[in-house]
Amino acid sequence: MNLEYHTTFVYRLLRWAAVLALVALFLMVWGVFDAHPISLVIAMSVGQLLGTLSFAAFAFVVFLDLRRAHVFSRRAARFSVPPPPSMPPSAPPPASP
Amino acid sequence: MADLEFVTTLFEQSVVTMHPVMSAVSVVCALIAAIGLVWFLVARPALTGPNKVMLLFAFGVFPIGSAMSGNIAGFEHTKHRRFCGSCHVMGPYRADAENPLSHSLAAAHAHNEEFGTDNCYECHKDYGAFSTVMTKLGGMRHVYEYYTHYHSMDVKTALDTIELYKPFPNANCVRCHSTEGRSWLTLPDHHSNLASLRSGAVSCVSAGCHGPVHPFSKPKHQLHAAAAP
Repeated sequence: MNLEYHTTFVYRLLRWAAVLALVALFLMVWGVFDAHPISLVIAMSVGQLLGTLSFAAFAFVVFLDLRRAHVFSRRAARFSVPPPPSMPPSAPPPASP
Repeated sequence: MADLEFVTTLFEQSVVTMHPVMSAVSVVCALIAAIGLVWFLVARPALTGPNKVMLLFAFGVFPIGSAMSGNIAGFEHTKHRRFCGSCHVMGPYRADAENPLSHSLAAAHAHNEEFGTDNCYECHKDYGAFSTVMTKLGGMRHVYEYYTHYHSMDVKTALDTIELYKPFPNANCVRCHSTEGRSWLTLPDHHSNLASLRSGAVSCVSAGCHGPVHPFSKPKHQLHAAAAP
């Protein structure tokens, strides 16, 4: 994935997530002001589902950024077990005089 | 003028007026998040480190705060009799409970200062570790039934049709009326039916005992209730 495509994709995803979050927030606040059963149900189900999806999209973007920065591979390298050092060949026994 | 009246009624019955603190937290969190999100959509800032932190608050911290406080306020609001009575078929039940001259058992409980405003919930909730959540999950069926069967039904027909899903459990009465008090046990009917009442074989709300609870309770209910295990 080249840098330009990555940036465009991330930005577009975040913009959709922002719109989704705004709709979610509107639904949740609607449930506070209009306390009829259906509005409360929608606020607590659809509203929060959209909010969760939006946050998941944001978390996905963060994950992509971290992966792009090789954070995971560096971290993996740091915590991986180093290969065992090669053993020096055993010294030949000293020659008897 | 009618619009103004509608808005006033809506506000009076809203969660805000009954749970102002949690509602205010929810609305303020939502507003702050919305400002951040609109800023991102309009200003199109570069995704630098500080901006990403700001987006974390706009996408995560404040919306989650709004949802959590809104949930608390919402759940608390759904305990009120006013909420139960907001469906028109529950109107007569609410009116009876709020009538100071009514002598029905429901009205007697509604007149209790400790929990009177929540009397529907207090008697019909399921007790347990997750009582509010479980009761409200069960209440989803009420919403489904209302919008699929009762929404356009007139009150008179609805009163003849509405019935409990299952017999009213004595456990809901016994939570407060423990069946251990001396004055309670001195009543001959209580004393003679003690085991049956505790096991649920005889319903507290049977006709001739404490039923009918509502003026609209139907004999069928009492038969159901008496057959409770």
